[in-house]
Amino acid sequence: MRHFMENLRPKWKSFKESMYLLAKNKLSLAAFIIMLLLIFAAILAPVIAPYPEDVNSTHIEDMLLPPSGEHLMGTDELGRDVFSRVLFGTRVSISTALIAVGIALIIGVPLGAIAGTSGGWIDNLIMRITDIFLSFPSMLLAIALVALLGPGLRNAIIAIVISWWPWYTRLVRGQAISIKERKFVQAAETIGTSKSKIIFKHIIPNCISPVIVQASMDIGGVIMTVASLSFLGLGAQNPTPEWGLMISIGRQYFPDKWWYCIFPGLAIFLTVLCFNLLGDAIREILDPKTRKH
Amino acid sequence: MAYFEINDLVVKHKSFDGIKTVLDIDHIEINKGETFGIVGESGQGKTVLALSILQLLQTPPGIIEKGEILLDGENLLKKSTHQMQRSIRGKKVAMIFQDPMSCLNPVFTVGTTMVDVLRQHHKGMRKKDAQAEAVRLLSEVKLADAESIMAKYPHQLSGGQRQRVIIALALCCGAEFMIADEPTRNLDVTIQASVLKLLKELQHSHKITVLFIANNMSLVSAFCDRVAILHDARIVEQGDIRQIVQNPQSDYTKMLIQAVKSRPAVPLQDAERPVLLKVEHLKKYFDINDEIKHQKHLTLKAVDDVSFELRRGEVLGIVGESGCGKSTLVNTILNLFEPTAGKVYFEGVDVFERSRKEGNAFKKNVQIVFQDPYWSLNPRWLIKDIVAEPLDVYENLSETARVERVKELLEMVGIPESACYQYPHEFSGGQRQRIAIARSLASNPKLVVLDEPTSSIDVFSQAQILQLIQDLRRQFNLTNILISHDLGVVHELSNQIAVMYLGHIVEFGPAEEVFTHPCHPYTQALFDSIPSLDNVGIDSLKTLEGQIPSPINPPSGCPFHTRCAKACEACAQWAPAPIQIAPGHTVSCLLFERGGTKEVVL
Repeated sequence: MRHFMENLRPKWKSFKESMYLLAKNKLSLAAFIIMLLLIFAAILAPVIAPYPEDVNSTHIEDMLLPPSGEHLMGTDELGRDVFSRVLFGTRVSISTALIAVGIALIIGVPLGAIAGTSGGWIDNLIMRITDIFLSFPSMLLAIALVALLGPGLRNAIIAIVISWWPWYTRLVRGQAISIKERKFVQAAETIGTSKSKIIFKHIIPNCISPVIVQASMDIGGVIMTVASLSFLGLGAQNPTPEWGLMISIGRQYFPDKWWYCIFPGLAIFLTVLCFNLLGDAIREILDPKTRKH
Repeated sequence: MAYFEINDLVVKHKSFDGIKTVLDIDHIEINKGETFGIVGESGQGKTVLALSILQLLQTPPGIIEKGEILLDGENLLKKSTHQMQRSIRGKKVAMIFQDPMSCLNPVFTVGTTMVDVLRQHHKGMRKKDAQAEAVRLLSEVKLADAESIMAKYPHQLSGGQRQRVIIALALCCGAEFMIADEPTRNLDVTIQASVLKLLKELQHSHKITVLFIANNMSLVSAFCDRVAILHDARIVEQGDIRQIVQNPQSDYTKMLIQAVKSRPAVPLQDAERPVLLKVEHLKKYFDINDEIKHQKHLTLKAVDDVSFELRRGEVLGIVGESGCGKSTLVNTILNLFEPTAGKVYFEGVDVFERSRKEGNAFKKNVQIVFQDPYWSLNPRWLIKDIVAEPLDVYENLSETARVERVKELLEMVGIPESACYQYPHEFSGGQRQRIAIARSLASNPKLVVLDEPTSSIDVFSQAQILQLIQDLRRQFNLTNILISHDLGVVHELSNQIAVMYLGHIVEFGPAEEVFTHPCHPYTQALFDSIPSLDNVGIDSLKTLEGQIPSPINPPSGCPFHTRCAKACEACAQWAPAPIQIAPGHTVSCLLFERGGTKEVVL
């Protein structure tokens, strides 16, 4: 336990430093705060939402009411509160994005590190496989896969992971090739450290910075892809409160009942923008060279 | 009035921790035609000074608070960027940078770069004239075959050639004041001597004033007339070089001088020690396919037929210019490279033919300390994990025992135990090298290889690290192999010396003997090119002309005959075999094989 605390202290120190750098750039700080709010909203959606039961239940008598004090963002064609549904949508979008990017990282990063470190036929094999995946337009690949697996949020995640992991493999491989030449890797080899420990303890931690930046930006991209798939009817299915799906249905009532489309759209816009800015902020923290004075 | 003058200059630097003074100079004056040296360790403000003169200092974070820099009576700090660009940089003040590769644009040939600069500074110069001028300048800096150099890209040139091109560029526009910022830092001693000589000659023929920045007193003593010592942003001492070397006033200067004085290693007394490492006819060839030139299966003979013995407790110093195969030799012995032929025995066991378990035992017994402590420690690991890396492989310790052991190791190398929970970037170069040494000792090795252990750290820390290495060696009865191009370091630590040239050991013997009676012409040339405090002035340096031949296509016969001053016709035909000229002292040179004695050569 004592060692655990001792180990934690330097990490806490570097975390404080990062926070200082983050706070210096106002835009990054804003993005960070919005992200916290979004996560907060996602976790506490059942508490904050004025009509949490509206995720499933319908009230035909209140259908398509414009925004008012009672319904901040109006109601939809089944009388459900749009605000509550947008809040629950945060849950769906952020968790899908985190799961999809997370799995893609778990697959992509070690493969890239192995390819970059080993070289030879292993490298060739892994990279040719990624080339095959990368030669399809990722959206098209995702659509084809969902069409194959059947529509639904889970299949959308599978499709996104399949079309996303090769990017991380490529990124990490390039990094790994340069990290492998660093002296501390050679030192580990002379010490006799095992190959797998070299890959997971020396190489991966040192090539993870650009991956984190890429991943935080990709979260925005994945949220958009999920929304697009749902919009096309391939992702989330009614009555799941998913932003893309809401826009897709709301489209029929646009522009008369504008609130039905606009608010989920704004939610997508805000979330994606926030994660993109956050990616930039993380890049600035991790790579001092891109820092502005 | 002096030609160049700095009065009351204060430069500050704004950063994360607040504002720091990086330069605070009361007064410097340099007369026309003089060579003025500025000496100090890194981080003392030398480069800031050079950049401030040319207004190349980045502001912010730099702030030039007050002061004046006068060149010929004009205050350079008052000039606008445009004026600097048009009439000062290049025209009046030229700069020679530390790293010639990074200041030549890699996508342009030398010719393109030179013609470009010439035409920019001499408006209306025709391309043909500019080309002719460029060739003239390149031959002036003694680049053989200037015409063909014109067509080459920077990466095709050697370090010395690149630095000459930079000097030619500095000459392009007739600047009379030249700032040389450690111009020979990354060069071999032999090349360093010839570049310095060239600079001195040009200085006389073109009447140039030189501001020479260096981190090493002996270099300055060979090159400069007067010198200023920079410490903690201030000038602690300035004056005539001879006076300062003989009678330094400030403590800092005394330490700088002490640091470059060599203290030869004490020879080992007892001769009967078991052989620890035996290398027999070791060869390492690399296959190279030059696909651009359609030449396949070329062999690069990095290490060619090397044999030696190393006894327990000895220190073997391997010296030679860069590219001579020092590092390849050691990496092959350490089994990081597959050997092409030959055998290596460690404690009588063949290192290349052993089971996996024995292999691990070998790795446990042989450790290496790398040149650059900035890259040899994983920046994402805590110091305790770095030092404990060998422990994790060979011993299964509980976390408490592990941390205890790390603290012990850190104490041995003089690092406080609070370092355990810090990251490498929080330490200076010298401290990091200590940490690397602590790591190398963690598995209780018998042989520690030191690959240029001090070449990327400051002179002070250098002396301390050398002392530490010696203490630890005595304490643990370690055997060392030391690779270095710094002969001072080798002199200080080694009992045995191997001089390598183009993959061959040309001379091998006890350190004292080799240093006092170098026999091979290459060893002699190598020793003569080192500047030392004892002989002031550029004439004390002898130079070794010519480039190192390519190991892909080595010269026939003796590999050194193309540059050897004593070469004869036979040298091109016969490869010399090692000849023993004294107990334990062997030389591979035909001069000895033909029955010549040491006296004849000396």
